[in-house]
Amino acid sequence: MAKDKFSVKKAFRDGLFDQNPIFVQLLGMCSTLAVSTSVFNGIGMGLSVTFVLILSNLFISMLRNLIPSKIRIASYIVIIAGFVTVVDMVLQAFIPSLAESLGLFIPLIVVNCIILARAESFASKHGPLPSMLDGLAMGIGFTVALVIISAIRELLGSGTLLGFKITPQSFSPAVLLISPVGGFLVVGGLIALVQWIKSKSRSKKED
Amino acid sequence: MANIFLLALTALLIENFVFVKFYGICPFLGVSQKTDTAVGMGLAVTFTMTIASALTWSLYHFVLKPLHIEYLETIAFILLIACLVQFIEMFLQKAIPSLYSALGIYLPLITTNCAVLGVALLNIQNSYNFIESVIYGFFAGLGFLLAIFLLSLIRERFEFARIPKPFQGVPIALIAGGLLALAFSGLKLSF
Amino acid sequence: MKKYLSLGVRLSLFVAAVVLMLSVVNLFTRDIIVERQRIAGQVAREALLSGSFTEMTDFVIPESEAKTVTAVYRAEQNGAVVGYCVDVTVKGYNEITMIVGVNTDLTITGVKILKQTETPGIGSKAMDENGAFLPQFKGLSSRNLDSVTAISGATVSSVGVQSGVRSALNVCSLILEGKGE
Repeated sequence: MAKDKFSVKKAFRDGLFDQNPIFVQLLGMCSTLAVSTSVFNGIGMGLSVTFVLILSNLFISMLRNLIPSKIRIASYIVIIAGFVTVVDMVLQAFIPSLAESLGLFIPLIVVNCIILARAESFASKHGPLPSMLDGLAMGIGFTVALVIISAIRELLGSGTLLGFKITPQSFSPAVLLISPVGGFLVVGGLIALVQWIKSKSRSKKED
Repeated sequence: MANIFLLALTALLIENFVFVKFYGICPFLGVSQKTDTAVGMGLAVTFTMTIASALTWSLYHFVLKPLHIEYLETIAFILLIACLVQFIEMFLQKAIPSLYSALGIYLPLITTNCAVLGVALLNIQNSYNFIESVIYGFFAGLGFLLAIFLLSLIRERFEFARIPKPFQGVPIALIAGGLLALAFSGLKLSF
Repeated sequence: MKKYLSLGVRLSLFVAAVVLMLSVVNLFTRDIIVERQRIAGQVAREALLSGSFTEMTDFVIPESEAKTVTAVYRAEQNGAVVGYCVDVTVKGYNEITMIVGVNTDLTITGVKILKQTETPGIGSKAMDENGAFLPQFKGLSSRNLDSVTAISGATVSSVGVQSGVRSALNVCSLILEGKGE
């Protein structure tokens, strides 16, 4: 296990900052842009993806010696699709309002590149426990990023946070931000901000 | 006929898959630096989406529904799409090598393009019939082609533009995409 | 060949295991989902008309409306019919499922949207129960249904809802005619 040096701290630092799925790896953009119209949706989507990530990472890691490399992608997709369908059914049964507002983007978690990328680059090479933790860390990173994006869009686009009115009456919300256009602009702006911060801290280190 | 026309127009422009529905953003950002690769990807996606619409519709209405296992929809569709993509790849390699050399490298990426699974699920959700599904799949695919082609034209210009460093790459592509989406939402608002 | 066979068998095994898991989960969630949809429909109907509701299984929906109208419920109070609730599915840009409440004098008591996936901020404006569009229907009948003004930018969604309401009125007038004979 020497080459598998795995530290929990590094996993979380990667998930949240260094390798953040949305801001740094730029994965899972479809659902990011589509569901970040309200914080409630953002949290719901984030937690759904986290759940699928943890379980698919766990099972793919446990089965990694049984999965022939020729059909590994197909096998991963089958396992991922299974857990995604579980999430879909559970949400429809217990949190129908969330299931309705996320709509097709729940089944589309299957093709969210984050999950397949973690399966291929991490779970297929590491043991079950590190893989689960990696799923948890990446999932939290994804959720946090989604919450940041959706908080900006909901606050400025509808003047609310989690459905509660925040802004004063005189503020008229910029509906543009919760429309598709706003998704592109806010995410583009945030990624630029992250790249700017990264280049700043890099040049500081070099000094 | 009027319905079919409206459906085609909706899929292509009014509810463009990329700009309004946010399907297929990953390849939209990933392979739009050059016009010819963008068009290649767009064509491959259009082709796959049309065939996938026909096949998944049939699978749902002739297999899943009679057996009352509609809940297996997602997993059945993604498996079918994965097989279809594999099959198209093998077929093109043997039958039309010139087309294969042009589109081949994009094919494996299409399985995980959410526009393909998305159109399959939408056809069922909106209870389209077989003809409507195929038309919707084809024009939604063309909508993707149009979107990625437009963005690639803009991005080729970026090579000669002095873009602030933090915005280089994906951020400026997203912002260009946002402005294109703004133009498309103007279309939508007039209907 | 043998190698491919073994690959196929392994993949089938994975699929079988996943399908087994899903069928177990489905066993638990299916009834809850059906029950929840029933309750959601019930709550919507009670907001539109008062009384007790029974689904009209004896009434055959005419072929011209069968694509839009999915079910009709009769509302009764103290043994007398007070109106009908009509379940309608129409096309906006996407499918919209709604319930239309109709009095026995063929005026509309209201429209409730059960399920819709129109674009947030644009088409969804026509779906808001407290918005500018849906409340317009209250009190109208088939004569003045055209007086409803569509939401700009949500014309397709608005027209979809309007056509659904018209179908509901058609079906109700057929039911009432049948009663008169």
